[in-house]
Amino acid sequence: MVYNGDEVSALVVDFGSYTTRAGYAGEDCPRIVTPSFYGYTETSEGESSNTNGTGGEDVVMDGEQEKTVGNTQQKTRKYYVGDDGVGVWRQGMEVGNFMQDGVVNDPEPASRLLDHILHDRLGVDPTEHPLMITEPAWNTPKARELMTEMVFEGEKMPALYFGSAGVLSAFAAGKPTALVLDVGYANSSAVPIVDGYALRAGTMRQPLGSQLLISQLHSHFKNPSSTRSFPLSLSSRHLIQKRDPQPDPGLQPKPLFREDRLSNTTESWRSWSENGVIEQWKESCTEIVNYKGFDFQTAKDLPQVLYEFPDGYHQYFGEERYRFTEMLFDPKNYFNQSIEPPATLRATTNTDHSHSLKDLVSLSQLVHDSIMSCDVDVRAALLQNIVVVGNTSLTRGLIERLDVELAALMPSQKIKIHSPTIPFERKYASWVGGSVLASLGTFHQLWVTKDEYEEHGMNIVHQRCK
Amino acid sequence: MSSGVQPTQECLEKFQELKTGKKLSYVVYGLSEDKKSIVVLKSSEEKDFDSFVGELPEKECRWAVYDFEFTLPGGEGIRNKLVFVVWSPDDANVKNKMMFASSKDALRRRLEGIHIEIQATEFSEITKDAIMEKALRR
Repeated sequence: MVYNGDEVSALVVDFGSYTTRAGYAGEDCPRIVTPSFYGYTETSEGESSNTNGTGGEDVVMDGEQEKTVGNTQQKTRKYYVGDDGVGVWRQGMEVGNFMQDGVVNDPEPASRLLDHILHDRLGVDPTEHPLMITEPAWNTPKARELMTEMVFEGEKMPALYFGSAGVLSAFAAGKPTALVLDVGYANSSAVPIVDGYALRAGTMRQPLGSQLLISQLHSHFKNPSSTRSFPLSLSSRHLIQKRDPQPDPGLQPKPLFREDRLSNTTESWRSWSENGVIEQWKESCTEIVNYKGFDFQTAKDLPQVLYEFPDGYHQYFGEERYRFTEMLFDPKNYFNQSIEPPATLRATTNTDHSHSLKDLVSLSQLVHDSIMSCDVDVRAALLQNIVVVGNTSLTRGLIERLDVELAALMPSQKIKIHSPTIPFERKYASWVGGSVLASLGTFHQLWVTKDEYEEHGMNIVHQRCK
Repeated sequence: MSSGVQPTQECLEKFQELKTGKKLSYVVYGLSEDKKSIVVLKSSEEKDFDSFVGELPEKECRWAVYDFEFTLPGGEGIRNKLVFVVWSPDDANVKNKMMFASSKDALRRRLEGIHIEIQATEFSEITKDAIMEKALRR
């Protein structure tokens, strides 16, 4: 098949740790932004036949049949993906996430989501549309393989391309050469891009993003504090029958819970929904002070905002708006290691290109280290073209603070930070970049077609998607 | 990763003319109407730096090669160096920026003999002083 001109009609899917973005190439913003979390329920074999989790399992190879005999405890999973997946309360539904360390880790739910996006949401015939998938600079060959199978064998799509997320973000900011700082959910990463190629040598990442921030806030809100004598319920609207609005700020509400649901709610769903409640608070309230060295004394004078939780608790929040986000620039002092971090974040280990939870560094240090591990010739160009993207980078004050910190770290250097001014261009930078590139007729020679994949296997994918 | 957009023969010829002919002072490149190739938008013998900068639009990306003539400090004579300018103003739309950023390499690597490269988003980054600084560093 040959793609040229306007007939490309490609699709772009950007798998992220928190949300997955999808839509038509050539459009300004993704049509679909849906959770990368999925819900699942498990039923023992035979108990329920009405699951869509068994597709393909009916065919059992002769030799393998014996293995399953005797394993009477075999369970089938029913998956719930998309907006109506985790976002809907279901009895006994557990919550998982198919991403780990920014990489697609669990192919089953990921392919369910892709299928849902293509068929239920976009309503397209996948065999007619090439697909561009974005991938982080540290994507693994294994994950690529999983996704390639998903696209060619699962959905039978005609062509595929893996676009490097960092490069796409840099291009979308108009820069063939840039240092892309992506502050997201699971990770913050610094990726040097030179003339359209990501330099693996300088790529640095660490599990310092909103997921860690939320876990710290979770502990803060779930325990009494110096200004609050009771823990917050953090219940989402799914579990509340009637909220209990308080006449004055700071009073403990006694909302009417949906008793029928409480006992049938899993720990993982509860935790997911509570984190969602905190996420909302974080998005509306948090800021970062624009000077180095936060302290509680000055924080008392910072402006307060009124915020109400779904259960009816409301309060004027002051220093809490600033204290926790300080972690992004001073993890040594503001990341409380005694609060157990989310299990998936612990998977990131110390290597030349990553920091573990125990060795987090400030975002400015991450940028510095990334640039310093690049060739001397390109450092000046990278410093003058720092592109900041990712949802967490939208935290008010982050760009200004980064500027202050970098100037202090490298006083004699010319530093320039560029960040898209339109919020969705910053949140979905790599999707937006992929959208433009995949819509170009001239890009056609880079697509890996299904025929080529069938003839050459993964080699052709690795060869062409650099 | 690149867009696959290629420069036309004229792009390379004009560059050769600038490099060897010593007549042209600058060449401004852009994308063709159908966005499928890189074309010459303007070439000029005007040596004035400000008129060169004036060719760069406020809301659209461009590439340009400018023959920068400067005097070495201490009266060591006059030198010429070719400057490649990547012009990507903040006010250009994403599609425009994306097209230019992903096509730059196709043009740049076909032009041999460039000494200085400047990636600029504001007019304040394309000044004689900024280029001079880079010219003297090497």
